[in-house]
Amino acid sequence: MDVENKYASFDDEALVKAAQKGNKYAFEELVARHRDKVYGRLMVMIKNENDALDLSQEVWIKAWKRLKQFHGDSTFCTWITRIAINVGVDHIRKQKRKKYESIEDHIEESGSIERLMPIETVNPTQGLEREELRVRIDKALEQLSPEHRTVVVLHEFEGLEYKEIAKMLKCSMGTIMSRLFYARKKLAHLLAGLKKERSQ
Amino acid sequence: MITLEQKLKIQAYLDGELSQSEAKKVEFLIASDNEAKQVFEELKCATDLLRNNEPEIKMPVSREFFWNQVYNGIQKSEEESVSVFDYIRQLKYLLLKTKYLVPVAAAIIALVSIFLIKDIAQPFEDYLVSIETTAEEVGSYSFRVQSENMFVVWIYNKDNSDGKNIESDLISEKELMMQ
Repeated sequence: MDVENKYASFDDEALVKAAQKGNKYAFEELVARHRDKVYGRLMVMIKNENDALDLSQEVWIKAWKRLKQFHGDSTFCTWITRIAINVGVDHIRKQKRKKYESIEDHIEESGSIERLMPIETVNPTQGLEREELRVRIDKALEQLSPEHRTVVVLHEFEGLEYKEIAKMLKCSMGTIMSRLFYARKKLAHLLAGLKKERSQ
Repeated sequence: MITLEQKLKIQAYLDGELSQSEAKKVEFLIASDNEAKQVFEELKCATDLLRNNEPEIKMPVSREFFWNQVYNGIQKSEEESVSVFDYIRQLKYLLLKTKYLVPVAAAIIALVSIFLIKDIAQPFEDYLVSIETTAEEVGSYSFRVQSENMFVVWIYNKDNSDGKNIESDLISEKELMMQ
């Protein structure tokens, strides 16, 4: 039995214990199991393949360094995803600092455009295949600003509460609530637009 | 028309973020106001769609390629942390050496200072030097004035009574400085 196959039969807990003792083969197996999840999270947040790949690498290097701090309070998957989210949030913050703040940013933040959108009451995705639906949701997410997308990811996919998101993103609960509201409104509008395109 | 604040309350109600009393107020609003009901349905629809259809994205590179990248990164960071450790160790060694260097340096400075002070504190008479002249009728006195950074040679005619006066003047000046 080669090394790769040997560790494939271990569960995450056993792999973490072995990796904490410095076993890189066990860590390699953890990387192989959870790399898509980490990359996917970063990709949804950042929407740039190269950056998401570089940041995924950074996440796993950080995880290796901090592995001794993992005491099993959550699953390994949750722990590594939180590292990925923090790395993604830092990246978005750095990018924003580099970018000259434009009038569009202000409009995006205050939801000036979303306020004018009509209320979409019919489920716009009825009749779509699950895979097609996922692709469309991904495309709709791409249209959001990184800040709005991050709040959606943290709330809808990670299931975090408002105050946890506010703490993580270092902003007020009010900001989180309005970002989430406008992000949902825009998503509903974008998905409704897709439905109209389909029916034509 | 409902306000933005009310819309945010509807959203908070949907997300289970309201207290029981606040939730009841929002429930009443949704039941009594058509716009509030539509906002609630729109938000619920978007939320349900997202929660049940999270995009599944696969990494576009192979397991081996990605692991090599991660492995190299780990190796690099471990080498860096080793060199940082080495630097700290060298610094510690230097500090340990300094522990002995400081007293030695202090001793050297103290010794040099003693010699300098001794040199400065030399009595005036040590500076008084006699210079011989070949001419019998000419006498001389010489002395160094440290404060003026000056060496004085006084040449006088032995036959002239001024020479004797100068000698007595110099001796009285020496006594004055000794006091």
